[in-house]
Amino acid sequence: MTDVKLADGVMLHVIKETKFKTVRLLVRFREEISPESLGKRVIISNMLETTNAVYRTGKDFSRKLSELYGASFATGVAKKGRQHLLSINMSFVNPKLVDFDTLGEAIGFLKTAIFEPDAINGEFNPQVFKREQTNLLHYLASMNDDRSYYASRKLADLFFADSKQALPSVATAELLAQENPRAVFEYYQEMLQTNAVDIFVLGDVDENRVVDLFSDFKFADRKSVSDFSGSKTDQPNSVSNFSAEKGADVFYRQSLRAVSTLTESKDVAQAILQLGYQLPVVYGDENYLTLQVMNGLLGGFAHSKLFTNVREKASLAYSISSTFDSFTGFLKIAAGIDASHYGKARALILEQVEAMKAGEFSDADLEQTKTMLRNTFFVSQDSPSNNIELEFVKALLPERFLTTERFVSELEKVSKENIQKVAQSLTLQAEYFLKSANLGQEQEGELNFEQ
Amino acid sequence: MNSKFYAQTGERLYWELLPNGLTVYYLPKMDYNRTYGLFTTNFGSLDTTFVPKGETAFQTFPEGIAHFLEHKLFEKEEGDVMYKFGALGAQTNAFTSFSRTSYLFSTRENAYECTELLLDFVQTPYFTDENVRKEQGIIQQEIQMYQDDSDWRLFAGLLEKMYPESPLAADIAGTKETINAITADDLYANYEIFYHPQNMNLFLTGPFEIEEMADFVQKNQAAKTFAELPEIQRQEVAAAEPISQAQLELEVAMPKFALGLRGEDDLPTDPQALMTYKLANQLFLDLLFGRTSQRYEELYNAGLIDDSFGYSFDLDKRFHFAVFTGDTENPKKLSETLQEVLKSYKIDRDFSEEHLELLKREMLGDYYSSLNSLEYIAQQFSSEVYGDLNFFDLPEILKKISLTTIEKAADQLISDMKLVEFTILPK
Repeated sequence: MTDVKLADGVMLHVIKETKFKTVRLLVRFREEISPESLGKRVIISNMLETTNAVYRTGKDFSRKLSELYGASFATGVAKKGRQHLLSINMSFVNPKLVDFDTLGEAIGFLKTAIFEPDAINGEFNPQVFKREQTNLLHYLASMNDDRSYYASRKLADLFFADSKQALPSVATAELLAQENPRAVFEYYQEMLQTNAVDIFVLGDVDENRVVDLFSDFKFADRKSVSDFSGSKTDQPNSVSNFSAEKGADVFYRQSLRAVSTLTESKDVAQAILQLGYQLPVVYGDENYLTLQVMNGLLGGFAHSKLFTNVREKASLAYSISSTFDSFTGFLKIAAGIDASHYGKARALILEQVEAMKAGEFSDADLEQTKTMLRNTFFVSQDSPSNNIELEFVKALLPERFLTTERFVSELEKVSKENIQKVAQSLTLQAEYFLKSANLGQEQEGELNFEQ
Repeated sequence: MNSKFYAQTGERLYWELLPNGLTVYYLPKMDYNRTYGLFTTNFGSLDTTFVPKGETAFQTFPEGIAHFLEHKLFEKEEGDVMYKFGALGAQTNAFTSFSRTSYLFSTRENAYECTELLLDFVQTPYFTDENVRKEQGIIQQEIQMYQDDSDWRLFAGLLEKMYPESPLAADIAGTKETINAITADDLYANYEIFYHPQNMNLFLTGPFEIEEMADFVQKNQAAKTFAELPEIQRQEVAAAEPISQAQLELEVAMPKFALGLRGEDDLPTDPQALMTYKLANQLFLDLLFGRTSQRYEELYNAGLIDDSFGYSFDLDKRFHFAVFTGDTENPKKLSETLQEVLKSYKIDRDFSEEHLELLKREMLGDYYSSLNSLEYIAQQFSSEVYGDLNFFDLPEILKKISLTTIEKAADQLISDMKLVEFTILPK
């Protein structure tokens, strides 16, 4: 593992790993989420993936990648706590397998993509811009065709007090529609100058060569990552004293609120019930592994309370699980149910959370959960992209990073009492129910009765 | 025990046919953390009509029975097998396709115990009328969940119109009515025929010692007895005439279009010719409609397609078809263009040697990349479509494909195909 500073705030991380047939490359730009830049970032992500000043058409762009033995080039956006991430991913065959300098060519392609976008006279190519903007608007609209995604969006809206935090990583139709080629290009220049940048290369590569290849990327110095935390101490009633700590610019916390609920009707065959809980534990906390185990027992695995009792024993759901975001303190329970079982399913789900609080689980269940978590942790290392994600967290929060040794030993120490304690601090904050529009009055009456 | 070293990829594959008829593949991967096992039977949703054991006539079972059986095999008198895997620290799952049902585990610890558990639970059926009834509710929820997935509805709708009155037209999971008709006796009748070792294969990959693992599997199998299996008689997939145009209204943001080419030509029986036919037709579609084509560029710039556009060529011993899908504001125009290109492909500017070389290079790169995924490799082996050829032979076959090969395969497919259009329109 080699870490090289390319400029202030721009780090190159090279991870030598021989077991994969491919080399994986990630460039990640990040800054705090803001409604002013979110739409721009999402459009940029699409623009970079389509064409640039050298590969001017989609065809030329794709042909170059085919020439590199089908190298993949994909951009994406995501959120990590309060940060918005714009990522460029490349994956290509190990040069040794094809006797062709895929590494050098791919890094060259990447350099073009970042520093030579399809722009002239201070704006992105307006034709390409318009088309990608339209495509994105279509894409956003069709994402809502995915009902469980739609429900998750609604739940996030209900849950987050801060409207910035409720924004989806892919922005909204309103934010995208208001953008134009000039404003977005101007922002892109600013983004290149100011965002924190992390670059990862993982594979069977010569580390010195990689450093050489990246050394002529023209990144300017910027405020270093830790400087970002200085002014961002305005979080309301943080449960712990994050604001003073490193990582304050990453984690999002909010204080407890009254429960927000929403029921909607749509033309769906299956109803969806989602519950959002406030969770006062974040990544790298003392209780972080306890949280992992607690979630595993509640709804993370097939032996969990939710899966066993709601699906297997009561046959009330096909899909049911709990997941958490350790950068925002948000825990979600999601279930696909029959609308007529709403009352029964909801009561049974709440009962499972109460059971966790009361410590109603066996030592065997506890042990099994630990074993599953340990396995999942190691198994995830068989994937190049998961390895890079781990390294990213390490680069982002070096002091909170969990090494393999710490992960394993702290997992071992998780006790029933601690799990109960973490579970007891779960507080219901939001409830969303998507029901079938065809559900008749009579059944609705029955619903109320069950509640 | 047979073995072959594939120098290009540095993989050594081992395989053997056990005395009870089970084919086992081993692919040691010493630097991986997990062991992955996939136990597959050549039995899927298409196999609803066959001659049951001890009978002489064909009998038809309810649609969705292979998938139902898959769910039920996990349940034993002492509880769900999933928990046993969990106690070993392993993940387990299963999936059913048109032709196959596969059971899997993935684990870092207890690889031998997991292998044993996989073999034992699949080879020990436990069906009762009571546990069959309970499963009906869960599967109904599963069917409903898919009903809300518009991309899935598009694909399923297209198949339904391409292969009417055949098991290909039916949902792999069946319908509420058909699954309610399934009995424990039905499950046993299916199990006895299709879950015989002769009709199954096991694929194991991960950081294990080959001798030890093989010895372990051999002993496990030798300790079990299986009744003799008569030759399996399945009914051919015979569909009615396709319905060339159909549509459906759903709550979607944009129209969703699908075009299907139902292949009617006889497939080659020789494994090498068959794999060539498959790859050639994939390349045929890549040449004309892939992202490196002039056509894609034009359709994309004209706004007729976007990133959702895709195509595939599916081949099984009993059916083969090509499918195009995509969200589009103008399904009619898109369909016309696709059909015109298919008709006059020989004079298309994208149909060239130079373009083919580029695409073969890309396909080879994609192939190498796919070798990172143990799951993907295992699935390729479980299909057993290509007789004595396997997934690792692909680079050699690919090398030999020329534009002439592609013309031959494409002509064969196209001259004898049936076109079907299916559209989902916003409500």
